[in-house]
Amino acid sequence: MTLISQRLSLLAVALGITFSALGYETSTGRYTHHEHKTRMKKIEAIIKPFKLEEVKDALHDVGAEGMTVSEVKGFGRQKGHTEIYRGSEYTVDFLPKIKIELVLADSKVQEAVGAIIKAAKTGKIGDGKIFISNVEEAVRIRTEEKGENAV
Amino acid sequence: MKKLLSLFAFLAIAVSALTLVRAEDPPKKADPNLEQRIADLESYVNNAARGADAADAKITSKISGAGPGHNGFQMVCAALVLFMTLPGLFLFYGGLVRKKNILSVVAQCFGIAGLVTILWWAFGYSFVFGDGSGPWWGSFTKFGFLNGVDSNPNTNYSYWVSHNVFSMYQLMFAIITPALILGAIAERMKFSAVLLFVGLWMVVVYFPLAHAVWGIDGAMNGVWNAKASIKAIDFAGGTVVHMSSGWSALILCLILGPRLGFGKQNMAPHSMTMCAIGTGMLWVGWYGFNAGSAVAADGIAANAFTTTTIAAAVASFVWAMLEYIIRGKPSILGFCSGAVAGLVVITPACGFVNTTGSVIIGVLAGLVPFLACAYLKPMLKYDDALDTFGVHAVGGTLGALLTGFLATKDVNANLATNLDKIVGSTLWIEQLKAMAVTIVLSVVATVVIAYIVKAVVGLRPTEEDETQGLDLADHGEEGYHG
Repeated sequence: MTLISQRLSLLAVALGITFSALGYETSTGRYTHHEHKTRMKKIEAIIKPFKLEEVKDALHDVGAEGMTVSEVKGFGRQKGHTEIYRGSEYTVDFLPKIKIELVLADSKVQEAVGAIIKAAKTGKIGDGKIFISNVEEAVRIRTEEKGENAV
Repeated sequence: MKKLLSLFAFLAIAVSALTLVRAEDPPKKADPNLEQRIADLESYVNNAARGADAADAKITSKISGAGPGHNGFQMVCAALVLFMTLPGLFLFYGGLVRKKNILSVVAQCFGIAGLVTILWWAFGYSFVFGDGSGPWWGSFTKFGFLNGVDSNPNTNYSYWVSHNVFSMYQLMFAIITPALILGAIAERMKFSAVLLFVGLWMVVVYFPLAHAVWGIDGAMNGVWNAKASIKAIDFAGGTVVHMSSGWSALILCLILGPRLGFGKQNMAPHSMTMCAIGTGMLWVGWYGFNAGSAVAADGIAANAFTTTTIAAAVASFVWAMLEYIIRGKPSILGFCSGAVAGLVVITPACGFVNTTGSVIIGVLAGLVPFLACAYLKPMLKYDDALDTFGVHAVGGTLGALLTGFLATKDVNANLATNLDKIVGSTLWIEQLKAMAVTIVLSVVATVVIAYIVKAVVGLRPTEEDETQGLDLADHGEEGYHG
């Protein structure tokens, strides 16, 4: 850790936030692993809108305590659809989808992904995708709890 | 815009300069006896002439003004026809444009309502319904500034409806007809150009045509004018309203050219819900248009009311079912277009055909305009933005012809007066002649007027304005925020 970073860390500790825990080299922005091992993952699932309720319930059943849902538009292999107004045809490229985001402890991730697949699958094109990525840190704002306790 | 205003001012002054001749006081007449008074009441119920209405009448009438039932009916019908334009048509058309142009459609409908009313008051009504000037145009001055148009009936057109109510009822037709053209030129004509075009078009196309078809001494008024050179019939405006506006719309949209990005950008309707609401209002308002064209709450109005309902419902169903069969999905726009097409096609026929005739009309109204919109337009690649040609010109032309084949004296005894020999036989040939006159007048006049407007104020907005949308460019407002 560089001198600047240490000084910034001291300042941050004074403010109640530990910068070093974020694992960033402030001087270069380079990512480092040496202080913290990732113990959480973020799941982003793009699903068909009508499957939202089922997926939510399935995730609840495997112990997920929260999630963020957004209405999004996009396309994959399903592509768009065609609308016809009298003689005029228009291709609509972007289809409405739902994106669910949630962060879970590593130990729960496989089970949650399985639950999403089971609930969202119709077997037809356009069922969506799931992306899983590492999460460096999580903080609950109210209590300032960190890591797995915060998700 | 200044040129436009000065043009209208000039027209107003020119008309006012012509003096009006006052009628002299009539000679003294006797009071009616009891039998004659009862006969007057029967005439009211039967929508016939009073004893005092005859040209050489020696008696007066105790009910010399309008009849309350017929008059009340006519006022409601007039309001219904206005309701077709404001807001029916602007919602129907407005829903079909992109959201950046919704207000331009609303503004054009309101603008036309105001402009046409002023023309109508100054000389339009007189030009259409003032008799004595010949078969192709009415008197410019007889009822100029609505002079002499008061609450007493004008017996040329009705024994029991006030003359002023009749003139307002006919005004609503004069408003909606040019507004129909807006569908073909939507999203790409400047507001000033729309006003100037409509002002000239009314004088050159609508007023003479309406006089020829509906004026008591009109050249194509086969029902009432024994001397008509073309003995055609048009109950509520197949030629006058729908063919004239529809054919003019095609020519104007060809001269204007397609919208920027036509065929490349997505120009899908911004609100099918709004379009469907407008369609419902048009359908309701159309009862005033068709049944009201009887100009009395009588049996002919009742027949028109019935045939209008059947044709609209059948055509709406047929159009959507054709889509269901051909494309797998019946669309809302299909139901809406079919309903409007059914109403258009039944318009010239509604007071002349029976219910069987109206079903035949409904089926063909769902089929023929559907083919025009779904196949003819993409094939010829003209940008009739909201299908004014496909629905109103094709539908109006179809209706005018079908009226020739399906009209029957059984539902309208007036057909026996001057047309006894040709109804049910060669009437359709007379209809073809009237259709030809309408198409030639509409097409030629529109070409001339469009190029005049192009030279005076220009037709199209700048590319920047058109891309931004006419709401902001022409009116400084947005239909939707956020």
